[in-house]
This record gives sequence, structure tokens and C-alpha cells, in this order.
Amino acid sequence: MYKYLGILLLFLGSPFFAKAAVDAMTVRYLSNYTIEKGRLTLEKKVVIQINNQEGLKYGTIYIPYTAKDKISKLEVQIEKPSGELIRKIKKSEIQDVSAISDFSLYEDDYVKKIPVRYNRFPFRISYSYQISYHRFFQITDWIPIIDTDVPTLNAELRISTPLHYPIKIYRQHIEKAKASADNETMTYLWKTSIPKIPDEEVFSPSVYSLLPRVEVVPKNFEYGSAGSFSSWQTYGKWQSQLLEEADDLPDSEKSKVKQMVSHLDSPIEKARKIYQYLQDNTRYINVTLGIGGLKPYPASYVSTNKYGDCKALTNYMKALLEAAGIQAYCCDIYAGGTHRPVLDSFPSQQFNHVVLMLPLNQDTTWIECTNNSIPFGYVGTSIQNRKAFLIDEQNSQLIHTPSLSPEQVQNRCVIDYNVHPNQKCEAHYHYTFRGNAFGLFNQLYTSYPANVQEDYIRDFLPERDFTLKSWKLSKANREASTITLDATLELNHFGKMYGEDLAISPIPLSIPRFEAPNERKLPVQMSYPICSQDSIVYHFTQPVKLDEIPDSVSIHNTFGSLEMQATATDKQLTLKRRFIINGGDIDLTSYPAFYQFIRNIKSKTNLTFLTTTKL
Amino acid sequence: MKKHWLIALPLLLSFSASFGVVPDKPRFVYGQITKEDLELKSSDFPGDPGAAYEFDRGKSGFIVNKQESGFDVTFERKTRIKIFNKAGYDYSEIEIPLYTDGNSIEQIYKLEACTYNWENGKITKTPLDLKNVYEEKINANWIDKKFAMPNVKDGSIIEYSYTIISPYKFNLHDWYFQHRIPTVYSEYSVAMIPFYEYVFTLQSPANPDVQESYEDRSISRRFGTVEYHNMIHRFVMKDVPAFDDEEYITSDEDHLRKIDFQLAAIHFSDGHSTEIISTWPDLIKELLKDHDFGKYIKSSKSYLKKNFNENEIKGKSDNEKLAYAVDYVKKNFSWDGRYGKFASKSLKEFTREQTGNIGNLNLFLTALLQQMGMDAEPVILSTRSNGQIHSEYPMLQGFNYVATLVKVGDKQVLADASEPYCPFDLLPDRCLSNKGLVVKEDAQDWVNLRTYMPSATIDNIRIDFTSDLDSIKAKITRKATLYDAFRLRKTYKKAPDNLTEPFKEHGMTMLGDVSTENMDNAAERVGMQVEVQSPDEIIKDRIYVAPFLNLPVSENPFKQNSRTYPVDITYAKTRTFVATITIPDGYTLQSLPDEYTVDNKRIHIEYKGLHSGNQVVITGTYALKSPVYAASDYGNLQFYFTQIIKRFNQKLVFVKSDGLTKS
Repeated sequence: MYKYLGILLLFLGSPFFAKAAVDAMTVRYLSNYTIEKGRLTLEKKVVIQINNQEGLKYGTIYIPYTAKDKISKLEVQIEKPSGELIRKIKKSEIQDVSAISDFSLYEDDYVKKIPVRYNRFPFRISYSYQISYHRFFQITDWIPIIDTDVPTLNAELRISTPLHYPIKIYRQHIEKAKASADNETMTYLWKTSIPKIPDEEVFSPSVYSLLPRVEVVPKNFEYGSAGSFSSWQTYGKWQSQLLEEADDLPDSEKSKVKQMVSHLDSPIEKARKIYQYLQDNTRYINVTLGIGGLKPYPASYVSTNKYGDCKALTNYMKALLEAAGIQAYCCDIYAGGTHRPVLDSFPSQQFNHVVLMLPLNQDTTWIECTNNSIPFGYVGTSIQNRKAFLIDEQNSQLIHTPSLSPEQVQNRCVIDYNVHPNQKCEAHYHYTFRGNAFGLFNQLYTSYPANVQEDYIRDFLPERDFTLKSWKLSKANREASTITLDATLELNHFGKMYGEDLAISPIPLSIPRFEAPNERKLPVQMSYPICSQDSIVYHFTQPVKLDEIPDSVSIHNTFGSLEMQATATDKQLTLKRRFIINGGDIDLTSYPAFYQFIRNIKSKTNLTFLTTTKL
Repeated sequence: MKKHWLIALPLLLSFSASFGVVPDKPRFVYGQITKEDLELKSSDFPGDPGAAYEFDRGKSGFIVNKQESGFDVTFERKTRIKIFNKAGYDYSEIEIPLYTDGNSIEQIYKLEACTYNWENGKITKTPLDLKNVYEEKINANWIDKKFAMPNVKDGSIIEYSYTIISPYKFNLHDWYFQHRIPTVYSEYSVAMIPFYEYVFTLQSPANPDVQESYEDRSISRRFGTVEYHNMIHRFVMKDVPAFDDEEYITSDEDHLRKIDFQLAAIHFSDGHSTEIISTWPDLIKELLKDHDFGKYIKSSKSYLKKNFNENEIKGKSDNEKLAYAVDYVKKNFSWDGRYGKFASKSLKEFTREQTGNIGNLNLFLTALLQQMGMDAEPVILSTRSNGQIHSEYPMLQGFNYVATLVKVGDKQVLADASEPYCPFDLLPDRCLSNKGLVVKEDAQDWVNLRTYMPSATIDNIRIDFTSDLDSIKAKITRKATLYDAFRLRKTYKKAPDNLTEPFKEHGMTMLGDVSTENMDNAAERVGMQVEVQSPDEIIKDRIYVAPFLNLPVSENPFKQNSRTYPVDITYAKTRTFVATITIPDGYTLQSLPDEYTVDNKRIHIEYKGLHSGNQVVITGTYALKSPVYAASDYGNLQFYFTQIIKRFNQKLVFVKSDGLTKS
């Protein structure tokens, strides 16, 4: 079996194709959307071929739906690759369960789960169903794959609408639709195939940005209330309608807020005070019901329960600020590491999070309402440097969030090693975290019990085989955007004995493992820089002689920089280094140069000091 | 060694217990928050937990059902939790599981909950709005009632209480005295009536602070013509520490302090009784009569009589027969991923759909072996994650798996047909808990599931220097047996490229392809061979080479400062390296590394070198001889691993011959 594939591989010449195609592939993926009398229906038919035991993991079918949608004509069967029926799946094999994301307490979403198993490979799973949506907002966001490891051989998307029913289309990596019309309906048809799906690479764009994709929205829709995707303005107007009655902060709380800030003059100080009040009194809990995916729970709900999801908490914070006479705006944003840039020309729901924007004295302050432990106005790596959608009745628009500078993301590390004879050594680590690491350690510090913190720190420390003597996470105050970690370690055997000489290799820089240019298939997308500054000092209890001290290094180019100096006496060896990867977008043409820079930094910082006690 | 003591008493019959004991009054009263509660701090507990149960009280009993035809089980719970900080906020989201068999569902009554805070010098109360209680359908049998407590902040106290009324007598509520956060006071009491008899299993390293049984004479009860009093059984544990997840344990379920109940008998008011549990031999009889167990084996045999060609096994030895049978089932049927001691599908469905649960597969395997004329019986067991079996009490509920015990020559072999890549005479490692029950008429045999046969990986490494001496070329031949073979095969099957990952991770470059041996033959030990290139280090005319190429363990797997539970490494293990290095011309070995040998009951370590001519042979091997170690062995294991890491990773030094005058 594998031998055969080996040959196949030679012909195709792509390492990506190999394992995915071996296990399973989607033979057909058909989606047929019909809009009729204002209702949306999807007919879907998928045929998956499972090629071996490993492929069985793609043999479980999930059909998501909400309480009010109607699923009909569900049929699942096992077939031979020739199409011959092996058996039909019985009703009793279909499980119906709640589908609640792990970040939610409750959602009224369900999923039909159908585990299909068979033992003669290859075989096919063919399933089809019809789902009638009780309402809709988007017609489709179509990416015709069942998994990023499973290629699709034939995919087809068909959308039928009444004549003169305006829709808006965004497409990527796919031909324009064939459109046809008869007396009553307009039909759009796309066909594509995805014989290979690229693997994600270090700091590559999301795989989804490289696949055929069609997003279709109705130009005008009725979802809770009437709205339009004509422009960001119209869409924003609809969203602000959703917020309209949500500002029902109880009078008691309004006066509480007023009193709380009465002694403060500047709006920024007032906002800070109110933000701290929010942080101290609420928590993030997600409950999604009906239109709740878009419409926030009202301020009164959060005021009573003191919890809510991002929309509810943001809306509540907006109401609190309003009570103090401060105007703020809700902004939809796509939060997370690798994000798809917002499609300016395609107004639609492209976001997964909400934050608050405060336009104070020309300065813009961004407020994240779901985090109880970050400083006021802190812009973290998950929302920095991207477009956000500001909701304002008539003037909704896309605006840009600030970008983090190298200084804002710089992690600093000071290590002191006390080196004793026989490879015994104590080490003291002192870290100062910013940026992404701040987010991580801040979360760890505030939201996890001590035993979890300790386990995490033990794994995080870049030493092997040590005893963790003591550790401490600390933060100057709630407004600090840095957090420090102090750890004292006893290393069981420090360095390496080369005969009678002790070789010391400083801990390597933590640089992502970028692929070699000949292996790299995708561009680099880094939305913020990487920066670290280390100072490593070895204190020798017995005088030593050092073999060689490397010259200082100073590299600066468009991709980043490295500064490094080593100094030594017979009692002490000191190494200072600072490196920056600027980040940004690097296309494949520039990649070899970028990779060379990374390699250069790696080799320049990969040092071994040989020490001998025989002076 | 044995950490917990277990008792099981037919509760109804144990009148000998203390009489008329006044229940010890807990210092916490539901609904009454005191200054003491508000002042309770995280630092009052070891490990600074995010929250703590101040009290957790459960009460089970029986009430006459609505139809007055029998009884329902009631369970009442009152709980108070102090939330210290955000690490404890998870405990303010409550889930209450309710059981259903598809017809009737357990009902929840009197649900109430309240959050208490200290604000502006006084206690404020925020009750839970029942509108915010949701129902999540987990699967066909379980529904979760869920809610988040309102107005929770650092220092909040939350309380909730509810009553569940259940028609399911077998579902008499179990009780956990221990949680992942500390519990100051935990109490469970059960009011028994004369009609149902239960046995219970108490798992705890120490006696409960209170354990008492007495007749409640205050109320006389009557059902039909029977007049009776409740028998109260009460258990209290105080200051129970948080359960801290430790590595190398079977299952939390084997260590948490808890009490489990099992329905033993029903005594009807007309005087007759139905035994629910009786003796192991009786249980075995029942299993053998069961439609989805014994009868399923029978029908499998008649199916095989028609469909299995006996000629296939003519002249084969027992061992070959077993290999053939396991392979036959694996080839023709696939596992649907579900456990179970019973077949989940009828034989007809199973053979048509060619897929089934563990019961389907392994009972069918048993039938096939019997059909072949071999001595084979089913063995029921509990998987590692399901917790260990306590053979003191004849109950079936703990068993969740069935395998096959077969006589091969004069050996007993355990077999399973669910994992295509697992050797035919080996149970998948999920089955390696304490013991299994052989289901054989008129017998009561237990079989040890643990294997002391070590799973071994042997690396044979031949090292040569490249002509310019700046790197080495190595040919590595790896052989693996038992579970190590199973693992290697799984890695290979997932993606053949994955086999080279461990070498690449250690900075080696692959020269050519991997060749493999027996990857598709689960009966044999597995082999693979790679050729790699790796830079050596040349410093001042000396060449440094790690003979085992950084392949040995470099991080101590035993990291804790202390250990409470036994160290369970699943199965015994052996790891061996043999490196043969050809010394480059013009160079000499500086010295052989020190030999190191440890051999005791627990561990074997041997490290030595041999130098002859232009070759150096370094051999290192270590064996963890037992699948389970006592907690007190932890420190030793830690120490030995430090030795292994240090010695197996040390480098050899080659020096230019003219610069060396050593004898």
C-alpha cells in the first residue's frame, strides 16, 4: 500500500499531498442554496472516501443547526468506491447533542453527530440533507473542505435567488460564478477542486486565506430588524439598532457611577476608575440564545448578574461611561494571532469580538472589557495592528488599532549562574515580560491556582534536569503592563564535561523555527515584532580560564537586528544580547534573505565557552 | 502500599452500629453567613487554592412515589463555596447532571442559589434568577442543568441547594468527599428503608471523622403492611485536602476520597426478595445467560460454523491459531471506538455492518477461538481510566471492557482484537489496570492484567567520521518490542515521515530513506533503520562525540519534590543503546568513560565501554522492572534518572595521536 503511494508521490512531487490523500479525500462537496419567499434552504451532499484505518477519524459527520432550524431528508450511507451501496445508516446511529463551544456556558446550538465506521478500505461515506433556516443574515461562507488535511476533488456551490434579489459576493481563489436566469430565478454556479491543501507554516497566513472561498450575503436582510450590507455605514446602522435598547442601566447604578467619579476631573481618569470598577465586579460568561450571536444582553442583565459575554460586557461598560457623561463606541474586531485582514470592500460580519473605543483629546483609548487583569487602555497582541469596525449610528466606519513597537513587546531576561565544581550550579532567572508573554503570564498569575502556575513555569524555564527551588510571579500594580518572574533553580549537571574541561552553552534565543527556503511555501505574516534582551552572567566560585571570547556582534537590516557582547574575567563571564525581528509581511521572494538573517542570528548566538580550572 | 481501605456492608443488616448518636453539629449553617466565613482566606489552605468548599452536605433517602406503587430515590445537596480569586471562578459555574433512560428523567426540585458579598460594611445577597438556568443535552442518557452564579467577585461566597428525585434505584447517589479544591467539611447521610439493600465502597486513606449508623426512631413509617424506621448511615470528613493531579497515576477515580453505592437486593413487602448481587459464580452464570454476552458468543459460534473455513488453520500450532484468529477479527471488523463488556449490537448487525464495540469484537474473538477448539474464555475488566476493580464485592458495574483469555500450550495469553497495530498476544495499554475476572461457569478466577514483560527499544548505532572530520555519519538500527513496537507502528501508520522526527529534532540530517521491518506484521517485533549525518564538535584538535547521539532521555520524567500516590508507569520498560565508533585515523580515544552498574529489584542500569583497535563500543541500558512503584520509591527513581541522563549523554573525546602520551 505505502509503496504504491511512494510512487504516486514521485510523480506529484509534492510532499503535502502525501499523507492527506492517503487517509481520506472528499470526492464530492455540493452545496445548493435556495432563497424563496424570504427563506433560505440549503441542500448539501458530500461524499468522502476513507482510504485506511487512519482515515476513519474523518468518518464522523457533524451537522450543526439551531433549535429553530429544520433538518430534513437526512440520509447517510456507506458505499463502495464504485458507488454500490453497502448499507444505510439507521436513525438510531444518529446522535443529537448540544453544541456548546468550550468558551461558553450555554448556546442554543445543536449538532447531529454520526460516527460512521466500516472495515474494508477504501469505502465511501455519502450523506445528504436539507436544512431550512428559520432566518438568515448571511447566505454562505463557503470553503469546500471537511478538514484541512482532507483534499476535495469536486466542489460545487449553487445559489438560486428570486430575480432581482440583490446579493453581494466575495470570492477568493475561485473563478467568477456562471450566472443564469429564467423567468423567476437567478442561479449562480461555482465549481472548484482542492487537490492539495497547504500545511500551515511558521507565521504563515491562515490556510483558509489560501483556499477557494465564496462568501455571499443578501444586500438587504431582515434579522431581528431590517438591515443592509450596502456599505459599512448601513451595516453599522443596523448594528446600532441592536444596541438601542441595551443601554438600560438601572438608576441606582447610574448614580453609583456618578458618585464614584465625582471627585475626578479628567475624562480619562474617570474612564480608568470605571474600568477598574468593571474589572472588579464582572466576569466573562458566554450565553448565546437566538440572535444573541449579534445582539448583546442589555446593561441591566450585566448589572444584575455581574457577568456577560464580550458584547454584553462591552455594552455595559459603554453604558457605565455614558452615566459619567463619557461617549464611547463599540468596535467589532477579529481578535487572535493570525487574522484574515478585513475585506474593506465587502461589508459583512467578519469579526469575532467587540471592544470599546474612547476618543479622548485626539487620543484614542481602546478598552478590552473581557479581561479583569490588564491595565486600562492596554492593547494586547490579539487586537493590535488591524482594522476594527466602529459602530456609530450614521457614521460607522473601519478604523485601525495601534501597532505594538519592539519596545512594547520586548521580553527581558537576566540570568545569574553560580557555578560550583562538579557541574553543580544554582541559577537565578529574572524575567520581565511584555506583549504576548505579558498576556500569557498575566493570565496565569491572576486566573490559575499556584500548582498550575508552578507546572507551567517549570515547563517554561529553558533548562533541563533541574530542581525548582523557588519562584515568584509579581506585578507592580494593576496598571502595570509588565509582569516579572523570578525563579531559583538548582541544576543537576550544569554544562557539559569535555574531558576535563567544562563547556558552557548559553541558553539559545527563542526564535521560531522558520522553514528553509526550499521547503517554505507560504509568505510570512507577522503582525507584531519579536524582541528580547538578555543578560547572562556566570559567576565562578573557582577561578577559571576561558578558551576564547567571541567578538562583539552588531547586525542591523530591514528584517531586524542583533547586538551581542561577551566579557570575561577569571571569576565571571557576561553575555549581553538583544535581538529584534521586525515582523510585517514578507513575501516568498524576500524569504531567502529573511531566512539568512534568522540563520545568521542563530549561528552568531550559538556559542560554546570552554573553561578550564587549570590556570 | 495499599492506600485505601474498603468496606462494604449490607447496610440494612448492620444493626450493630452505634445507637442514638447525636449528629455532630457542623459549624456552618446553610443560609447563615458569619464573620468567620468572610474572613476565610486562600492562604488558610496549602497551595493557595482559588476556592474552597466550606461545606458540602448530601442526603439520600427514599419517598413513596406519586403512584404509591413503590419508592423513588431522593438526593438533597447543600453546598457552600468560598471563591478567593479568579483561579476559583470556575467553581461559580455549576453543573447538575440528570439521568434518563429515554422514558422518565430525574427531576430537580427546590433549586436555589445565592451569592454573598461583603460590600460597604455589610453582607449583600444576590439570588440566582432561575431564568438563567440552562439545560444541555450531553447524550441520550445525560442532561446537564447549568448555571453561572450571579455577582461573583474575589471573596464571594456562593451557596446552592437542590433536590433530585429519581425513579432509578440503582442510581443512589455516590458522594465525593474530595475535590480539586480543599473541602473544610463534607457530610453524606443515607436513610435506608427495609426494601432496598445496598453495599457501598468507601475509598479513603483514612477513616472518616464520623461514621455512624443508627435507627431513626422519631418517625414510624409504613408501606403496605410493613411498618419500619429509617436506618441512617452518616459519614463526615473534615479538612479534606485538594486532590492534586499527579503524573503517572491510573485514574483520579482510584484516589479521590469517595463513597459508591450499589443496589444489592430488593425485599418486597410480601416477603420475597430479589438478589441483585450475590456471588461471583452467580454473576458469571448471569453473564453467560445474557443475550449480549454468553448468548452472543453462542450465536457467534453458530455463525462461524457456517462461515469460517476450518481448513485455514489445519496443522497450525496454538500460537499460530491465536495469531490467525486475532488477525481474522481485525481484518474483517473494525472497532467503533466504544468500550463495553456487552456486545452493543446483535451478531446479525455486527456481521452486516462489520463494526462494533469492544464487546462485539472480543466476544466474537472468544467464540472464534472456541470454534477452533482452543481453550478460550472472556475476561471482564476495568480500563485504566475507569478505575480499578475491587474484587471483594461481587458487582458488575465497575467493569467496562472485555478481553479474551486463551490457553496457548501451557501459557495463558490475553488477547484483544480492537487495535490493528497491537501485537496479537498483547492487550492494548488502556487495559493494564489491576485484574480481570475470567467468565467461566462454576469458577471464580482472577487474572493479573499487568505485564512484567518489559517493552524494549534497542538502538544499534554505528558511527563513522566524514573524511574532513567535521561531522559523523551514523547508521541507526532500531528494534522495538511489545508496547514500544505498538507505538512505533502507530507513529509509522499515522505518517511514515514521523519516524524520522525524533532524529531531526536532535539536529540530525537524514541521509536517504527510512527502511522498515514488520510495520504491517503486528505479530513480530518492529525494526527501522536510518542513516543520519550530524555535526560533531572540534575544539582545539579534539573531537567530541556523544556516542548515543543525544537520543537518550535528557529531561528527568520525575519532577515532583514529593510524592503521595504510587508511581504507575503502565508497563515495565527497557531502553538499550549500543554504539560502535570507528576512531578516525590519526586520533586516539582519550579515555573510556567510567562504568556504572545498578541492579536491584526496581531498576537495572548498566553503562560500559570497550576499546579495541580502532573501535570503541559503548553500551548503555536501563530497565524499569516494575509497572508500578511505591510512592516511597519516587526519590530513588528521580536519582537514577539523574544518573542515566548524565552518563548516557556524556561525550567521548578523541585527541590527535601525536599530542597524546597517555599510557
